[in-house]
Amino acid sequence: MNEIFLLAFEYMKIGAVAIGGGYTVIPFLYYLVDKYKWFDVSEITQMIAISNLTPGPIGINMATFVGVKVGGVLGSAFVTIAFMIPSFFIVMFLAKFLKKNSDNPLINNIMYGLRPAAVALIGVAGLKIMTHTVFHLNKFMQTHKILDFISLKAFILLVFFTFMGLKFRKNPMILIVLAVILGFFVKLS
Amino acid sequence: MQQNCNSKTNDKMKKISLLKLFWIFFKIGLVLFGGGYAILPFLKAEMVDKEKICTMEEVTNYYALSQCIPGLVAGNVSMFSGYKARGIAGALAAVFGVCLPAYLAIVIVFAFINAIMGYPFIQNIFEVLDIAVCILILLTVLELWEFSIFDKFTSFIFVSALVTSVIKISPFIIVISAGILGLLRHFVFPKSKSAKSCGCSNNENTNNNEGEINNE
Repeated sequence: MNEIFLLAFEYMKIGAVAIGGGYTVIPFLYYLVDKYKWFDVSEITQMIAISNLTPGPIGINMATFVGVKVGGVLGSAFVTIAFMIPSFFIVMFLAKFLKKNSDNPLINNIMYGLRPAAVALIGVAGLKIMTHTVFHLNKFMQTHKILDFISLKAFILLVFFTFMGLKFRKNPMILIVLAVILGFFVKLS
Repeated sequence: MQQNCNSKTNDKMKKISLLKLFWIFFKIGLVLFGGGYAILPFLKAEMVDKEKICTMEEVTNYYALSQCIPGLVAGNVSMFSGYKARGIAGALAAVFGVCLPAYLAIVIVFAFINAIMGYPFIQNIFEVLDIAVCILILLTVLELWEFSIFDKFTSFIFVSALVTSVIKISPFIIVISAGILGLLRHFVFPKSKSAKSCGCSNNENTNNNEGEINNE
């Protein structure tokens, strides 16, 4: 039970700083993995994939997923609500504030500093997944063979998904569905 | 575009019941796949065209703002439009509506996940999914790039955040220090222009979004 309160508290902190939608939560999930060992790195990508295949905002999907994993159905409701509390207060404050003045230079300047940091964090999260699926740096350090460094099949898939992702930018579901279909035929490890 | 102008002149908004508001957003949450970026066309159809609670201009403003503040884009946009309709109670009804399908979907999926994860081909699928997911994340970076990193100051923050993140400094510290740097900049260079073009609440950004919807 204590774990659920701790997770809800951590998620409330994430809800207060994660700017720019569901994917911004991902770097914080890696942070949780390092700190608490409630789940592992491979489960994060599993969560992201399932969140993409299920209806609703990805951030809520992931919060519920982490919550169910640590504290069951009731616990996940608790975590999901905790996640939304900070932004609820911020939005209510802003909505009232915006009735009076619509463009505030102070807020603009804070956002101007915040966004590049958020983008960098998301980028690192993406690269992290790449280093344990396509490029195996650890194995390369041991054997010093270039074939051990790059998994060729995975690299071809990477190029293919980049191409398809750029083509269907508005619809990320297509990429996930393609990956599920390919998963039936391609064996990676 | 014609329609937007018409709904703008419609000053008398009818009062909508909280249950109706909840139901509208529940339906939106049910069809919302992928990120919060997908919410805008649904919001336009329900809140602007059908119920005439918000104008298109307001909805796009909410959307731009929601990308700049903490929390989920879809959740924030729903709260803004719910607030417009029925105040704080309306915001609560809207955000519960939009989140409930996501919550229920995961609870149901989770009940089955342990049963299916034992099959080796499922493991295989998830390995391929890993690669797709990492591309999705990097494409998000590309999407956010153009209105996040565009001058020396933002490039500096981007590079420092990248380095500090790789050496495993807590993301909370990184985000909060970036916000403080933005704040400092406000007081050191109060008249600098670039902050205004951050796409936070400027018209350029909202116009782009509007164009996208009309294309669809």
